[in-house]
Amino acid sequence: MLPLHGLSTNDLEQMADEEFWNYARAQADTIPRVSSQERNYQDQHLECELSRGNCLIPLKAIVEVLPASQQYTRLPLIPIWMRGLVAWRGEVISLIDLDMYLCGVSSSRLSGMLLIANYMDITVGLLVPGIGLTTTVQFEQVTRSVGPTVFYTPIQAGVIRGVYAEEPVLDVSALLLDVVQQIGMAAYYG
Amino acid sequence: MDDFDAPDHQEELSKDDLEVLRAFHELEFSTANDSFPFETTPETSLTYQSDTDQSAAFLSEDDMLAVFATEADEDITTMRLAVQQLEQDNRLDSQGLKALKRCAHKVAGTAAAIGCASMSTIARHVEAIIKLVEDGSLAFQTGLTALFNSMQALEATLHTLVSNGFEGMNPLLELEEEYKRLHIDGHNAQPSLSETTDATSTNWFSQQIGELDQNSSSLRVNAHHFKKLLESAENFIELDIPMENAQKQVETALNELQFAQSRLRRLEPLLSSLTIPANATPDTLVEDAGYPPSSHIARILQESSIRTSHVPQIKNVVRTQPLLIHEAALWDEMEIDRFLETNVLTHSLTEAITDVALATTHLRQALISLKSIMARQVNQANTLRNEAFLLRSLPFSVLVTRLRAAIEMIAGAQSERIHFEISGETVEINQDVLEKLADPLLELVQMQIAEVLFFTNRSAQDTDQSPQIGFNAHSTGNEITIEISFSQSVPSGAVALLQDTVHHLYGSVSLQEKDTGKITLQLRLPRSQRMIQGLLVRAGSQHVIVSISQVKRIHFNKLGMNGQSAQERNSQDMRLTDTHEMYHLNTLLGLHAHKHTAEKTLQTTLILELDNPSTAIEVDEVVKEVELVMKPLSDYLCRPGITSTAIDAKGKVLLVLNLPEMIRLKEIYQQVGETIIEADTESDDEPSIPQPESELCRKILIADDSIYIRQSINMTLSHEGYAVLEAVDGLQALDQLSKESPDLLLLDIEMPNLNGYDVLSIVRSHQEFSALKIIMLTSRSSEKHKRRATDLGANAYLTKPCSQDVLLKTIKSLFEDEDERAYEWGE
Repeated sequence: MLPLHGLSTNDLEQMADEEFWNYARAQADTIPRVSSQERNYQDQHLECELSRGNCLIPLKAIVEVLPASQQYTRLPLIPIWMRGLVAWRGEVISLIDLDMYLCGVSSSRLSGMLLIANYMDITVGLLVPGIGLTTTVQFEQVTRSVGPTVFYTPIQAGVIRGVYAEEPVLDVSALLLDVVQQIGMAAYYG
Repeated sequence: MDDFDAPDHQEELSKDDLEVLRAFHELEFSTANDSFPFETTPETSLTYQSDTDQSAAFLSEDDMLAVFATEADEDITTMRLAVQQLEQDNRLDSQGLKALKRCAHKVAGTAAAIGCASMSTIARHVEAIIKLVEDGSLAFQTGLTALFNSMQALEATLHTLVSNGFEGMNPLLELEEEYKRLHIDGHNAQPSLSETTDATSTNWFSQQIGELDQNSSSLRVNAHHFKKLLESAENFIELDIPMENAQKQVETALNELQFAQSRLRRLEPLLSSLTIPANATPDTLVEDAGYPPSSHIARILQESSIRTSHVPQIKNVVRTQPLLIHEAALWDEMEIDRFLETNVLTHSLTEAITDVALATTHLRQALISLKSIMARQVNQANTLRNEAFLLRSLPFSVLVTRLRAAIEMIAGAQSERIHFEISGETVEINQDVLEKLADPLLELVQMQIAEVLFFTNRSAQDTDQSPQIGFNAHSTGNEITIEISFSQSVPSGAVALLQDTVHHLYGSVSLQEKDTGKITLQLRLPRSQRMIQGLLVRAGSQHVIVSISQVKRIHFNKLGMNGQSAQERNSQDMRLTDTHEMYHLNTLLGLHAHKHTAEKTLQTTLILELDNPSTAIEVDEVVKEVELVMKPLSDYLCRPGITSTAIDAKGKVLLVLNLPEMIRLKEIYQQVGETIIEADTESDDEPSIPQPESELCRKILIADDSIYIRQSINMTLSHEGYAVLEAVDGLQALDQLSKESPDLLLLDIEMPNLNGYDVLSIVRSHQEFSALKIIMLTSRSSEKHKRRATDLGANAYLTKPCSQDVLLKTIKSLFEDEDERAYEWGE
């Protein structure tokens, strides 16, 4: 009897054909057991108020919501949308002006809210002018974003997962990866 | 040449073993130095790349295979002897192990170059097993068994290669099965090549402290430091009781205060319900009432009035009616003093206020006591932290011993001439710091000795005094100073390398020349790399930290200071700008545009401990000295000279600046920027660069300990018309360089005697070799090695196995660059 999980590549290579296909079929039949509560939580999005409209950020990617700190530390050679560094729970994280990142304009003068977003081992602070209510996003009703729009600059287009109720739904993993990449590149190219 | 015939790793082998090895080496040298007997032009050649149609060769495939097989057989024999030696000694023998590692590395590289993947893999497994045994992750005996099995597999694979013309896979597969049986995961345990080959000093230090690798849960530590750590931990725990007592005192005082306050609050409505004249005070209430304060006094007064018929005069009309006499008598009968309501309240108020004051005093005392205990706890925690750091420290003597051994190895018989002066051997230095310093210091002293041996006139050597090398260490507070003195000049390349390392450690290097001609290198380093003891400096509205070890002095020039006139201050500033390279911290941080420092009065200037040129950083304010825990930044947040931060008491992030690094990188960026600008502005109409007519005159030296690599490259280059020279190790390479003056050097890193880095450093420190092109050709592929080679002055870096095309193109491009420059300069 083969275990369903935890097989290494080596284990797979050593399987006989029949064993392999049995295993593959068993894996394909496995239905992810997600409770309705968990599914709801996964679909919950926080409405963020930006200068040119609202956007939706998945709650599961947000670790904490805080009033924006008045103090941050500037770092040289950073993109225009990165305010600097802030301390959060003893960790030094980057402070991203989401309004500036997405819209190219900034109305949030550190008087808004700070969303601590996390994906894998990347944690950043997203500064937004304000937050609204949480919304359950029906993914079947999300219309896919078809490339760059007037609203968002092309480089950030991949960050928009789609549009739900006329509000863009952000893909935080893509956003954080893009942010990290651009901050890293700015060290070399200014 | 005797030195070359007797490599260091053979010293620990038996006489018979040495004879065998000597025979092999003689074979190697005779092959290398004599003209090669197969100098014909065959149609095909076995080179280190398969695209044989692109180049003709001088040897047939079989001949090259024979060369490889002979060399590999020799290396495997050496490895087997070394393993046998390990078995006999039943301990990790450093010399035998070193020979084993080097041969395994050589076989891995050479086999990969000829396309023998199995042999290369087995050799890499050997490297991995050695590392596991060294780390303590693998038991010595198990490691030995695995090594013996690996030798067998190598021999069997070589045998199939010689017999069949291609290598068999079975020995490798069987070996990996054997590894599994021994619970060695050959794939997972196999470290990257760079890790394996670069671990010399690290492993050496690990052995000193007996530390196991990160996968191991054990850690051996210095017993004395551990005992002290335990004592400190116990003292820390003992502070719990006084802390609890102090907390209880605070709680009691708080309760007392709360009680007094609540009593005061209860009186408040009662007092407010009374109609008290605005000008009345509690002290005057009794007098103002005109009545005696107690029934006892009232009775005395009444009896007196009956006796004397004098009725006491009532001054004021009171708000409350006096008690009747019969009532007074009743009070007396109850033996209770009679008070007016106001008197009672006043008295109570006084008491409540006194209680609050008393409780406040108690609370203040309890808080002082708690603060004192907390301060003791913080001190004890700092002591604990320092002692925990000391667990990873080693005495300076460990490094000195290592350096002396390296000097003696290079100097050989002449080592007796070298005079050592050592002091401060017991100074404890963090192991991480020692590890990082070991390699550049080692190279520095090796280069210094090589300088004496190869580049100092022999007659001068005979007449001069014996060379002296001094090592000194001392510590002050959280700073450690290491001084290394030489009786002769120090190669600038080595100092530059050392400077880079020290700067990364938030320290500084200064070079001092004394009247006696003695050169002293002074290294100032923070004791710990986890704590930063620095200056809190203000740049605009931002505060940053600068390591104290990087600051020589602070030049204050505040207005009106010491009664100086503006003219005097300006003249001081001018002197500073004359003698120092000036930067403004705001500019370095990119906070605002650069303002020319000479045009304004300098406020506060940090003079950085940098030599040639001396550097001064102008800052807005030096706030205070701080000591904070460093928090390394994520890679993507790192900036030139900024790799760490600290968080202050208010939770604000402070950048920890490595100012020498910031300046160095800024200069590099500026140079790159200028180069780019120049390239961009180049006109298309400029005449094309003439190509060299012929490359026949170009002379290339190959320095590699693998005969196969040397010969295969030799064939390729010879076919292209280059004159080729060969060197089997670093020392021979230097010898060839000084005698033959080649145009280009193909340099391996892992070589006996002087390694590639040493050769590179020495060569780049000599002006006569400034035109020499150097290509590193090595199996070390990590960025760290590339960066190091580039920093030391290599023109290109290629990793083995390298295609002929890439090698030839790289060589051509380097020569073309040279021609281009010669053309630009009108040569």
